[in-house]
Amino acid sequence: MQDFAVLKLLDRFQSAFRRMGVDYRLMRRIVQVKLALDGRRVATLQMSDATAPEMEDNRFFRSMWIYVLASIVKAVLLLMDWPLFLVMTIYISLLMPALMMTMVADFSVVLLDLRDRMILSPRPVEARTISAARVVHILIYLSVLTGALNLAGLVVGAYRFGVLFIPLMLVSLFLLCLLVVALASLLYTAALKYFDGEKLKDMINAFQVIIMVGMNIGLVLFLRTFRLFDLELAVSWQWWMYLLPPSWFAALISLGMGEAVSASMVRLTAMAIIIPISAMLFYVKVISPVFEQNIAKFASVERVLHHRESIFTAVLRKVSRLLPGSRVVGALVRGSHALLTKERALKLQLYPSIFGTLLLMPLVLVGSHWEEGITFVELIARLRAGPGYYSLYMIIVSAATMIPLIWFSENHKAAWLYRAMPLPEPTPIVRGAVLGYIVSLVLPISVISYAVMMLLFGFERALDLFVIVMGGPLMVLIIVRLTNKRLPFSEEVVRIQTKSGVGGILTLGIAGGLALAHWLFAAHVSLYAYLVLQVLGILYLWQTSFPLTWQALDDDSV
Amino acid sequence: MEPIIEVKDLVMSYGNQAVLKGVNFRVYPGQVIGYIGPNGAGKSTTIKIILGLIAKYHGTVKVFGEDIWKQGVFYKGRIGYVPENADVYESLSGHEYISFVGDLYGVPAEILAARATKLVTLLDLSDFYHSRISSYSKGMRQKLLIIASVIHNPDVLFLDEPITGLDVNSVMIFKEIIAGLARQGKTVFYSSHIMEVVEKISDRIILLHKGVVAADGTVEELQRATLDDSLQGIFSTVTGFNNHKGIADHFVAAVVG
Repeated sequence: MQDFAVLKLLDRFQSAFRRMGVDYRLMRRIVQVKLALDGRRVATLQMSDATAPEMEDNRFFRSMWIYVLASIVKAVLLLMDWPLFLVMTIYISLLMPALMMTMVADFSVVLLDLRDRMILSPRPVEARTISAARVVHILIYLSVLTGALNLAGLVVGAYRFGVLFIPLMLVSLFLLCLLVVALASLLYTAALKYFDGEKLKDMINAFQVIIMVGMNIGLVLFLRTFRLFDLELAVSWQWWMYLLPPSWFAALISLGMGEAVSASMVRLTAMAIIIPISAMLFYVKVISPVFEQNIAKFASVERVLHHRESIFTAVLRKVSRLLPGSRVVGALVRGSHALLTKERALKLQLYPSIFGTLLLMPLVLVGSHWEEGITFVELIARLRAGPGYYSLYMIIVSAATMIPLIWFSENHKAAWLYRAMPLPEPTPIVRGAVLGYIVSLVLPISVISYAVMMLLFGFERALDLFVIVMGGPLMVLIIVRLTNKRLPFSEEVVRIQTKSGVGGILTLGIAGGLALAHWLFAAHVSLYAYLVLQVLGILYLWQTSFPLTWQALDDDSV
Repeated sequence: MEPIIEVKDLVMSYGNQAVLKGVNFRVYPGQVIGYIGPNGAGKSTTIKIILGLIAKYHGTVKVFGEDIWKQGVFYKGRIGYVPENADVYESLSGHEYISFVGDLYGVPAEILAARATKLVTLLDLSDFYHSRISSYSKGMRQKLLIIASVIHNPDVLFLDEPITGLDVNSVMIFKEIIAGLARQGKTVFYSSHIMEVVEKISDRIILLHKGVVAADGTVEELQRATLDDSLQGIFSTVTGFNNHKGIADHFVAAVVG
């Protein structure tokens, strides 16, 4: 087995681990196996195809360029002609939510992995050592990610503030990573203590969604409020800065650079060093045994004695049986509704972006017309006078663009089922899954947001709003047509945002095209004509986008 | 009588490695076939080929009297299948999974619901029927897979290690179910390493070894041919393995030495 360079780096800190009561030799061995496993995981459906096993970490490192690109955008901030402390506070405030989100979305699986427990706990390995291995494993990945996210920032910072900026920044980033991992671990430990089984998983899933929505919204609000702040105010010391981790690290850096030296700066710097390290020590020494004891609760069996179907599911079940044509389409509509609402890995990708948009949109809409002392009636009147109803596109787009999720599943290998069925071609399966997505996701979101927008904008906009809503299924079908078709729920779950950076530009293009056509038809032709075109487009795409054969999907995949 | 399954000169390889090197057998309606062989002999591969899950093979495979790739896929509607280590969508409840499979097979909704409820109650799964499959034990999962394989009342059953994880009582029920289905004229193709069960339920053994059928006959016929009294003994004789004592002794010596 390969001896990884990062482990040799880790060796330098072995006495620190020993002092925490961790068996360093064992921990190192466990981390080594985990890293080797990451490199060997076969990501494709074809287990028998030994020719091109896709590597898990390749995929991880391949997506790094997106983060490096993102780092360039942030690095521009460092060129601003503001005091160093302020610049760094803003910079790290932008970075921390991104790290926290990746931690929650991507590394929770690693943190809550039960499989290594099955292997490790029957052996004489202490809980503390297992926890430390887990944390180190995550820290390695998080550090790579943090490095990528700050590559440009480091270069620009060194150029502007001098070479000393680099070591100071690296130390701050490492401490920040420690803090993020320790916080997530502490929160999960608390959740594990009070819940068990499927309830616990649902709880954690909900918690992840809430954090991600909160981060999204918080970031936008933060940027908006910052404009209102007097910049002078932010540089001088305020008591609430003690509560904002970004200002601790900003203080560390500006103090290290010899700027703005003051007692409060020293205190903030002390917090930047002491809090992450002691949180981590506290976790490994005191909390982790509780975590390891309780993580087994994850696997307990649930007994549902009184099952009640939701009204939506019941209606969907009845209506989907009336579908003309294929019974298989109906089966897949029900099946994909069940999977999309129950698979936590899918929900984790679906809900944050959709709920985030749903919550943000009214803020943006009202915020753009808000003035001191305006009455509610005046506000509505101003709204109605403007083209604000176009913002419904935001919601429709956020619901439609997640359609590629139907290719993925936590149990992607279960797709053997479709091939064992008496089906001459996979067409109804794919069609049913797409329809299932539209019906269980796009439809309810459209209906609710349509109703709310009607209240806001009045009946004069009924047709405009309807045209926008019709863009939802149209967009879903366009995306399906342009992407590779596979069996639904047949691929290992990956983050679809990181999977293809082109996807975002493509969907923006489609959405922009739809909105532009809408505007052109409204101004020069007739919206009814556009509506007819949309319906024809939907019918056309529905008929022509699914001529599939089993051979066209990759064969011998079982 | 017409054979219900006919496999002729079946050859199949993964890359350069030949797994099946000319497999021949015929199965008749109402038979319970014990399909056995050492690890890696190609048992699961044979079953996947018959189900049309693997297309690249040589030779002829006929089910219900017709070549499986010439007759179209509808023969699959008369087959039930429990794959080895089957993956299922674990986020679904047992109820949702069974309904999904039944719908795909085209079982009418009322029949599906009534049949599933009865089967689930009989196998003692009803308390967990609306729980996520991810919370099931191994045995509960296998019961669910067995139910899913018969939900459309198939004529032929392919069972690949179906009873791993079942408790003793459930295995007893299972054996009787197989015998009962055979009396109803169903054909069962049963692949397993648990020789006691295979010996008990099969009225014919097909032993696959090194890519060919090494033995084919009733247990009694094979006993006479090999002079072994148990299926385990027959298995060892046909696969040419008689060194288990020697290997075990060396193993123990290596552990304590």
